[in-house]
Amino acid sequence: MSTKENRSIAYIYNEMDPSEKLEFERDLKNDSDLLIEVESLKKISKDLNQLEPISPPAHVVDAVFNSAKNNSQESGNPYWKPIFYSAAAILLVGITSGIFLLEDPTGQNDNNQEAESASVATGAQLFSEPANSPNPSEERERLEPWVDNNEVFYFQGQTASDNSLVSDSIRNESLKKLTPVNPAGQQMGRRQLQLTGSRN
Amino acid sequence: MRLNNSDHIPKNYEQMKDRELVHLFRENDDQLAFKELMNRHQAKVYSYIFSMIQNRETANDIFQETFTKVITKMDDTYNEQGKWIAWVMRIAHNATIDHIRKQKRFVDVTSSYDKESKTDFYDRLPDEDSMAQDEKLELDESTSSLLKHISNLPEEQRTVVMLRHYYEMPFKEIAELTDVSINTALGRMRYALINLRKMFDEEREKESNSV
Repeated sequence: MSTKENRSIAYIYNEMDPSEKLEFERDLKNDSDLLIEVESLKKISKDLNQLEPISPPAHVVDAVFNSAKNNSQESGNPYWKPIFYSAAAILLVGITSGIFLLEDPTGQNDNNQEAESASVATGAQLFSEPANSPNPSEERERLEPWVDNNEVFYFQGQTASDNSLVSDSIRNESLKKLTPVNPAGQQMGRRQLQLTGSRN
Repeated sequence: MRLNNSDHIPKNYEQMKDRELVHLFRENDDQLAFKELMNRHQAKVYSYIFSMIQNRETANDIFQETFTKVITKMDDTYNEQGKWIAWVMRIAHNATIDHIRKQKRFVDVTSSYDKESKTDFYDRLPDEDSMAQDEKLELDESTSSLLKHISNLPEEQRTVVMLRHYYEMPFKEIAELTDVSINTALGRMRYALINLRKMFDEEREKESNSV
């Protein structure tokens, strides 16, 4: 179909430029067939203008309104969305930084402690016992008892009568400086007394 | 607040432009603004759908589907620079055409061309299928008669007629909506008017013969 044939439609529906319109009206005066066609199509177009809009049923319109209402309830007010998201972001940043600040000193301490213990451990290895000292009973078990095999506590020239008194006084004096390895050792025979210089 | 058809719309809403009402609905979730938009355009949108589908129930469904999409997609796809109603009509048109194509696909399975009568399945469809009797009665007589003739037009001609006459949509917009050139849109309108003229003539002839 040529554009020329469609000019009558553009003219009827007033979709021509003023210059095109003038030119077409000039053609209409000179072309009776064109004039008849335009008038005929114009009449049908006027008939179509009688078309009355058809309203949708009320229940359908109500359903649309309810849909709009439900949608707004589900999605919330869009106006507040940016504010809501901003507030949520600020809150999240606040909580995160708060947790970081609270945890950081502890973390530093932990790190320092770890560093310190590492250095102490190194020092301990060089100069002293490990930092975590064993309890006294364990240490006592690990100590090698010194046995008075050379009869240090042998007392010569003591009479049988006062022997026990003298030896007891000497032993008591010794116990101020020496500690029995096993308290039960006090019950042992005096020649087998086990003493140590450690007072732990 | 539940909004229904009988809710009163303030006077100032009636004086607002579509663009302002759309803005109120989008930004403030103003249900009255949406109602005013519906009041302005619902009949034309429905008329277009109904004239294309010719079935009240299906037209109701497509109308509802159209506005459900309008409500849910307005935030995402509608650009306020454009005409709101043109955007709505595009949704209505697409939904209508989708339905028609689905129906055609369904019918094509059983359709066959009859060489003797030189007709296919669509030609053999009785008139009652295109518009039920009870639906006709609900409409004004002249509108009903016009719609009956329009319903006999090929789909693409019917589309141009309805968009132009119900919406006074410029042919440029009709061309954009239907993905054709302006010249094609004008040509379809011309053929539609010529075909309608024939139908009116035949009808008058029948009436004069019956008298």
